[in-house]
Amino acid sequence: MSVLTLYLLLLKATLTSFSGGTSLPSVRQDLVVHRHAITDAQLSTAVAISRMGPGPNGAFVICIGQYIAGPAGAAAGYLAMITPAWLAILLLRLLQGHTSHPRWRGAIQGLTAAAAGLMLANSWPIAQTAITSWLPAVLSALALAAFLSRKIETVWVLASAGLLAMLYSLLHA
Amino acid sequence: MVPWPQFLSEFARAGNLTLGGGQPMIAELERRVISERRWLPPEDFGLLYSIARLTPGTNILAFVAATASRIQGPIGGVLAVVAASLPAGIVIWLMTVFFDAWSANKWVAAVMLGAMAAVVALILSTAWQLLKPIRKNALALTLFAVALIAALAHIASPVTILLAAAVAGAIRPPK
Repeated sequence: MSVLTLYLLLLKATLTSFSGGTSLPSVRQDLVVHRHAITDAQLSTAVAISRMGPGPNGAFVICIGQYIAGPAGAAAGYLAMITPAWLAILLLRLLQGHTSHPRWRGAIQGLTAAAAGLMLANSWPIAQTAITSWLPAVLSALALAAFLSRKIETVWVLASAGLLAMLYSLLHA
Repeated sequence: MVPWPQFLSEFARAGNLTLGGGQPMIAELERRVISERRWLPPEDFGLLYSIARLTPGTNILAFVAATASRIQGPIGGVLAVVAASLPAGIVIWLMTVFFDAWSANKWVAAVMLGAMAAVVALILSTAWQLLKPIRKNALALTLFAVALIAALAHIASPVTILLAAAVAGAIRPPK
């Protein structure tokens, strides 16, 4: 796959999402299901890495780019992540005074509801890859409780799950 | 006009040093740029936040672009997005290279096993956070269910599902 094609596919994913993480269904559809360029395991690793590092949630597209085309792919992923943001400059000029229009709010609400459905649907195949024994199942349940409590930052939940898994591996080595 | 080094360093600081995703970063930028430095009036925040929500892609970067362009013009908006994301992007890239090179190591593999299990939970909780504010709206719940079934049954692509939901939401907006 050329770097330009990769950029356009990742841009399509970011342009059709309305928060960083919600580009995941589109990325999975194009790069895991259709083109087999990455696996579900790589996709969830990319999400884990991006959420353990600094910066916006949508940064997992940089990892995806790196997996598919090395540093040039990572650059393509970075550009796909930031390109849509520049639209905000145009939108600011066009929409001043109109952002509270009911139809705009309705469209955003529709997008949000569909994004939630897509996220839930996409969690299933990723779970099948990631949860292969009782240990990741328990860690996933604990992490879900932590995320839903909203009291612990994402990076600490991911790091704790990783460390607990390593500790278990150490004790049973 | 705000001096460029000071201007760009504010966005670089909020974008690259704040952990926890978009909302904490937006809160940090609001505090620094609007409340403390007063580069913009407080009443602009609602407009900028709405623009960020309406812009496709990563909300925090759209918020940076809109806020920075309001302060320093379109070039300021373009440069602030790069300042707010490039250092973190390089760190993420280096982490990917590291994990890729060390993925065969059993300790790294164990860490990733745990982290990937937590990612499943993260995706589920993100779906819930998206649904939570609109869960009492019948149309939103219907669109959620239709999107879920359409995606699971591979009836339509994610893009088609999202566009159809946006059109449905616009046709029957909330009262």
